[in-house]
Amino acid sequence: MMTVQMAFRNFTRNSRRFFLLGLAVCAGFFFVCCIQGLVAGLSYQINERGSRYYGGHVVISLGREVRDGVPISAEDRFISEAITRSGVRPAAISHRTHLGSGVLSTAEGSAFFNGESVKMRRVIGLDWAAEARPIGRLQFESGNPRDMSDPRGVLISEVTAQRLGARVGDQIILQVNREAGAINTIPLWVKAIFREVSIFGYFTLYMDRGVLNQAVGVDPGYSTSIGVYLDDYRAADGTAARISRALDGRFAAEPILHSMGEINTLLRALTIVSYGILALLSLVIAVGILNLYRVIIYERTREIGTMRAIGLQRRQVRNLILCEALLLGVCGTAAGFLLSFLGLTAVSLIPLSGTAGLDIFLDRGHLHWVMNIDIIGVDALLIILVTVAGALSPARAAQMIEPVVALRAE
Amino acid sequence: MSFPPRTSAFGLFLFSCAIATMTPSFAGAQASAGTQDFTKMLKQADALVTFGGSDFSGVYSFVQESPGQGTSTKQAMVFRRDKENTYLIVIVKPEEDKGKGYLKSGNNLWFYDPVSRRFTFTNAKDRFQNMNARNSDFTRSNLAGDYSVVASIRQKLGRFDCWVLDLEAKTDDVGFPKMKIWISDDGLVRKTEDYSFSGQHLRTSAFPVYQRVGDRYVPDTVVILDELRGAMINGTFVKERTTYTIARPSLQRLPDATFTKAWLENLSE
Repeated sequence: MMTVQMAFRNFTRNSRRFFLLGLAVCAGFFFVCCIQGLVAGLSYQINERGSRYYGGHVVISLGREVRDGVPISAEDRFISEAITRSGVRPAAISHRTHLGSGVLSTAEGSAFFNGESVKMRRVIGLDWAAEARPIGRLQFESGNPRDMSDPRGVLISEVTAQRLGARVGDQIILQVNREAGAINTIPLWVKAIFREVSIFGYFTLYMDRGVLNQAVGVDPGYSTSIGVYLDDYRAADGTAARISRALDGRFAAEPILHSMGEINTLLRALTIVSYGILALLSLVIAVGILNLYRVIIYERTREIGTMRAIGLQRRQVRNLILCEALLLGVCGTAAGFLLSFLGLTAVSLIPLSGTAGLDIFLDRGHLHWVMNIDIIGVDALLIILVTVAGALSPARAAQMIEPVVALRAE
Repeated sequence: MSFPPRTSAFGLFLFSCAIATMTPSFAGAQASAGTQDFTKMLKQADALVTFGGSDFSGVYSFVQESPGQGTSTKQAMVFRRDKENTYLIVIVKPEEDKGKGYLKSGNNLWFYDPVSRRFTFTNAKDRFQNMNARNSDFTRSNLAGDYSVVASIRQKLGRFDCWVLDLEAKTDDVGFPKMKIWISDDGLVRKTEDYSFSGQHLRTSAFPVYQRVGDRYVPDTVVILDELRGAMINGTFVKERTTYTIARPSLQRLPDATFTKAWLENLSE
């Protein structure tokens, strides 16, 4: 206890001595927090957008096999029961019919208004009552998404609305192909217009599942996928594994990131890079601490000799130095965390809408970042340990100083 | 192989002629539908434009008019072997599309891109070269096989006395589940209106003039109006229009190799 008190006193009374070291730890942790905050923000954005696009953080694709003999309701019930059996507590469960890029029909849908047409990359039929919350989190430019309780309502993207020249309240025509290829059309009322990044929304259209099923000529209760929304997207891998086990191999539950090959690779690469930077910074901090502490120990030779002369044991000297390093690490990481929090908050206040290539990182036009306390906590612990480890060798050297030799030193 | 380009003015002239000769009139309508065998009528209409006993080839010149976006032209050579339900189309103009081609064999339709030198599957119901014609428009006619007559009426269409037949598809695999067709007393289809499953009017086609080739007929000019695509110009909705004319129709037998991928590749080179 006395050692800790002495260390604290030394640390606070000789702050100038520790300033440079603290700055190094602070800067290192600041960078770590910023990078991990941005990567976590990007990951959050992609997972949230992807979950709206695919209908959940974990998706069970039914595809065509459901129609081969087994009644749809039986398969649906089996999957719903499997989700319950798995012990997963979903925030919401979606039943969707997806149209486009080979999901249900071979042809995509096209939207028409006043002679203009837009080929839709994906037409999504959903149950509004079940997905009002996640879909309601889209950035709406105009209209009220709650009006989607009208089965003839449709949500279109800002880009689609601009190309069509359509506004909220207009009636557009959606052209789809029935299962065997015959053309069908449905008049739909634009209830709201949302803004979304290109890959998840430029040519995506949300409408009622029953109406879409009827248009393409499948059973009204049919769905191409059942999705599970989670409160924490990071639990998707574990949740998918649990649901898959409960599905007994009849269907596969996949985290949505598996459906986004390139994005998943990008996220993994960014995560690896962020850990690489963390490792590099840790090394730099460790070496910096080691060298600076050697100098400090040299400068404190007489001080250490005096302490040893008045009865301080070798082990206590070592612990004193390590306690100082510990305090240095704690204060440095706390300052780094605070600075990164303030820095990221300041940056996130800057409107960046329309900045080319940045859209996917943005939430409503602003940089989005997330501090995952568990990850940041582990990072902080690592940096503190590295700081202490850096001081270990100088501390051992200090404990070996003989009082007589030390007091003789100039 | 050079043809005068179909200018916008020429297209307008053709369309005006088509519309002038095809404005429906109910004078003299209401002949007895009960005595008519409409299935036979459809079979005859199919037979008149189907080349079951020989191959067919011709040069098709397309003019696409998109209101507010201008006019574009294309020319293609079309080779058909109706008895095998196959066709090959190769684009010859404009230069940037030269060599692109379609090969239909049974129910399969491939699109060939000479730049990537790759064949990709495409859909017969898709638009042909982003125009208002569909890939399925170039195959043999099978109205009698694909559709049932659900209503009929006599009507005068310009100078033609016609039966107007409301058709509904027998299966879900035809592009247009509902059609209305005008068949003149000579057995030729003069006008069609294509509808979606829900009854939305999608397309109107006019066949004002046919040319005789052997004992069969081939349209001289076809005018297709897209009922959904177009633009508001001075407060009026002007529809997109594709006009195509068929020149050099021939029933000469074509080598079997014509309907192969290799031939299309060679032709494109």
